Amino acid sequence: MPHFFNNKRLIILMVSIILLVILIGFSMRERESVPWPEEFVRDSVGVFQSTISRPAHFAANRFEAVENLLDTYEENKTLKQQLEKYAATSAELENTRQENETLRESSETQEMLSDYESRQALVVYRNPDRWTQTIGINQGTQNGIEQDMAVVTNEGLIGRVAEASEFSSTVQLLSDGERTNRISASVDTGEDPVNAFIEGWDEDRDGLMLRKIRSDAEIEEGQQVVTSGMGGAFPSGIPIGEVQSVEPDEYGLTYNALIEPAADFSDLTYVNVLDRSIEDLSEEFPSLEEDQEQENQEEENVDPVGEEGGGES
Amino acid sequence: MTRFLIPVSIFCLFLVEGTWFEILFPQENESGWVWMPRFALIGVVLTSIYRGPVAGVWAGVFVGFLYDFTYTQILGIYTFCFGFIAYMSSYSLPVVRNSYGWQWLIIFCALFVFELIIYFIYFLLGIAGLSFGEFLVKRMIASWLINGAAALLLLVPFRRIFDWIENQEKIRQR
Repeated sequence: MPHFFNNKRLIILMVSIILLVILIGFSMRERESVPWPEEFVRDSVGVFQSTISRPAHFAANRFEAVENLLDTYEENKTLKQQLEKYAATSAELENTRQENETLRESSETQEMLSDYESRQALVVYRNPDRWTQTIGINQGTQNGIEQDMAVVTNEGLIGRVAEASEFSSTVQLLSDGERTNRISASVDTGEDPVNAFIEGWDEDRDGLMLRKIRSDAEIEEGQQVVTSGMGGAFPSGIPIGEVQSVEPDEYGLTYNALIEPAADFSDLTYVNVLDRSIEDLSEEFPSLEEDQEQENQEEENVDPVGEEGGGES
Repeated sequence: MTRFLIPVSIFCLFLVEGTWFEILFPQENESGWVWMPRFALIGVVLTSIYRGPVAGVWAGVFVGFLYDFTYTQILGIYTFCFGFIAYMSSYSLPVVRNSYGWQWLIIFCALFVFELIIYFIYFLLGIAGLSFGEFLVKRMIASWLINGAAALLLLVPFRRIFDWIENQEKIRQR
């Protein structure tokens, strides 16, 4: 290092540290939309990533195929046992579905909180430094993907769309530690479902934290946790995981539960992005909108009078 | 052609890092060890050894910029760190250029400083929850193992590339 830190270089270093702080400050606040240069770079890199990811997925699937072959015998045994149950369950499901339909028709509800459209996407990269848990998918706003949509695999919920650009999007996984990653969930207790929030990831025990559970709720190990659909962008009824342990929170007013996620975050190939059919709750309650329209009309009626009055004086 | 060879090869390493590595070796998080590939960093360090600090810093800022825009939602951290590391590791002495041992040692130290700065910034921002001891064991040693091995594989091809570029430049000067 013969040229180390003379005056000019020291100034450049200082300036770049200041720039670093400014940039961090700029990107740490909640951003509604992605600035276009970022979107442009991400999309153009995304093209290369989705091209080279296909052979990689192909090779990875080959490895898995061999592994699967070795497990076939054991799997076959357990599957045969489960098959007997399956017939009964599917008959029951069909029954319930028909019942649901008739009930819906009679109550004239068209859309439910659980309705959604699903779009398949290929995972093209994953953040290699594991400080933040994000993956990239090869579908963007051109394919109808928007920020905050739910992302699932066949096993269950894995995350939400953090940033969507034209041809690719970034998905923030549930295992990302961010507390703002809050999901409205409900626990299936057999009677009334118990509502609570999924907030954050417990790194020591490798599980999701379900917080703000009512203290009189009876929650036990092994109960299923699904999305409740009341949080906004997520449809209801997507499996999240299973309750592993329950403990009182630090103030003793509510309970926290550790949830073992249903989906495997480590090995992802295809994911589905869910677009909830109900745009927002005002569609379910049209009276709200009518009220607002009336108010607007009233305002419009009032305004011109005011202006005229101003003109005269 | 010679001008684009270095950025293109570093860009390929960047793609391999995020896509091939993560897909072919999916990590189960049970042991808690985190294998972070830093192949592009190896390319950047070698560039600043062979081509001097200016070319190295440019290569570093280029990769860091891509890194920030695609992988992280926080801008500036990787651009700064890659540039800084490229500048710090620009030992363009003939002794270093002619010995793989020295180059490997510099990459080893560069990895240490790089991971340390990233950890420090993420810790300050509240993103990294690991304690320093855990960080040293679970991330630093893992990073040394995997990237040290990758460096052994990359040293020879990169030297070939740089030798070839130098030859081309000599031919042009005549």
